[in-house]
Amino acid sequence: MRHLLSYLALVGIPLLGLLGVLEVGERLSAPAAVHGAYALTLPAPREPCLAAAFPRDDPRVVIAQSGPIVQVRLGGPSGLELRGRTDAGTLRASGPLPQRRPAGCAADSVTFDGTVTRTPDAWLLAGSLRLAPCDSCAPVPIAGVLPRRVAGAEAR
Amino acid sequence: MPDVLLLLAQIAGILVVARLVGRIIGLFGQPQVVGEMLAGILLGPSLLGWVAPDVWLALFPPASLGFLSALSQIGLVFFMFLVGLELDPRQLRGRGHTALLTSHASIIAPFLLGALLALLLYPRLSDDSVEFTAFALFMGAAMSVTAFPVLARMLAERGLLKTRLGAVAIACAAVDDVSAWCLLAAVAVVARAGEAAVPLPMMFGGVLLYAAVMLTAVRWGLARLQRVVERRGELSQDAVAFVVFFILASALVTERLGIHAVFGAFLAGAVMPRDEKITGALLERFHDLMVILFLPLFFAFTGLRTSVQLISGDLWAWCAVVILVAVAGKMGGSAIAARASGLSWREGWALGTLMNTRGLMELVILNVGLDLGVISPALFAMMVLMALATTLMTTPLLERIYPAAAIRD
Repeated sequence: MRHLLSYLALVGIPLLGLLGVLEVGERLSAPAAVHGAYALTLPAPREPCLAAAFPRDDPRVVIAQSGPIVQVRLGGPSGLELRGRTDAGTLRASGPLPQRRPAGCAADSVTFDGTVTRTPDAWLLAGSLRLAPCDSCAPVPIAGVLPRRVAGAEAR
Repeated sequence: MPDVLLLLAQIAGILVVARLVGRIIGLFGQPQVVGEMLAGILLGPSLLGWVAPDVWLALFPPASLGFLSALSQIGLVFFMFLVGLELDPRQLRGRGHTALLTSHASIIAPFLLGALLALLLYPRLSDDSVEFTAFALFMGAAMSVTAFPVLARMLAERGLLKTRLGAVAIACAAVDDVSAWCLLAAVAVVARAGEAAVPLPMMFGGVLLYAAVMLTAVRWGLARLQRVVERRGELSQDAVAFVVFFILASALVTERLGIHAVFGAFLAGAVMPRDEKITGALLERFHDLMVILFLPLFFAFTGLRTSVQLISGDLWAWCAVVILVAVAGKMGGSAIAARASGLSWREGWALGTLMNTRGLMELVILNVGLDLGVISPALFAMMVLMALATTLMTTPLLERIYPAAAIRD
């Protein structure tokens, strides 16, 4: 009898608690997913500061997401890595330009502002890159697509 | 085509660093496996990639990681087969109420705490492509796992295997192992239900049917292998080739069923005949290759996926909470249950300390979770640190709670 009571107290009650947690948790909401490897759909810009971000062999924008925190990678691991946040499908991330910059590049950092629109067929990324400090630099538009079959399911 | 030179250099580099760090950490009384786990993190973006990014990119260019990943996955499949093979149901017999209560409580307590923690972490570290149920069940399973091989080795090293504490610890860890893999399989089904072509009940049905067929018809068929071995007196190369085929086929089936290949490999090991000649011969042929070559590759691949830099600001506080919850749930839950079932408080805490060892098993579970997309990269990094911390603390804590003098008494 003592063993049965111990079992109920140490196993049965926590099990009921677990069911309660799952019930409560269903009402929680998490940030909208934006992660994935987006294939670029716009031609690479000619801006010299962004040469590393648009190599011919890796024309993708890879977004890794941990809750609202995002890591935006352009041009693979040797390209640009920007960090920032996402909120309801909008993103803002920034980071330094590589120390070895091409001639004609006076900026030292870059900021990405964008949105992810989730359609039934694909997730669409649209936004722009802004260089700083560079008053004369125009924002560089970015657009990408992530097919639905990999969106959400793709390893982050 | 793989760059063979680069691949060989990567493997050689990983093996050297793994053995070296394993030796160094061994000087502090820690098992080799802790050093290998640490070596993986040192070789990843968390240290080498941060300190010397050019060297790191030259040694591990992203395009080459697919081959390293494939090798580490194959190693993992065979390792999980060995885990299943070493699972001995006889360890559970005769342990009675103590093992039943302690093992179940040592699973449910950390599982509940893990799920409670999921309530806090889901809005902070997950996203809406993951169902809360899958996230919470994964956190629970990840918190309740115990590293059976590390635990068994520690018990043997300390001469505890024949004691009451050792017997209960082995029985509990065996139950924990099976439970954790069953739970993780359930999480995998739930997590992949959204992307699968078949509905969730059918996926569950398929997995259960496969497990039932393996545990009945296939186990019965494998008994023939035992008779062949008895007749010939040894496990022939053909028989080993058949076992390798069997492992790969089973891994393939569970991968096709929508859960991970590791479950099929584990199941293949679990249904092998429990004949000393067969298990002994298979362990002898696979074990060294596994421990010396494939496991360090798996640790290195895990390290390459772990970026500690993703943990910044208040995420460090959450990382501390994750470690605290893992320790409180597993150690506390096991100790209280052990005390309730008749062990002394000292034995209870020693059991809790042993059960708290996450080691390699945790890394397997975490990699499955990351593959399935159930956990985010930052949470993965936190959980890897938790696995490392709980494994690192076991030896010194056990020495304090249950010193050699107490064992002799």
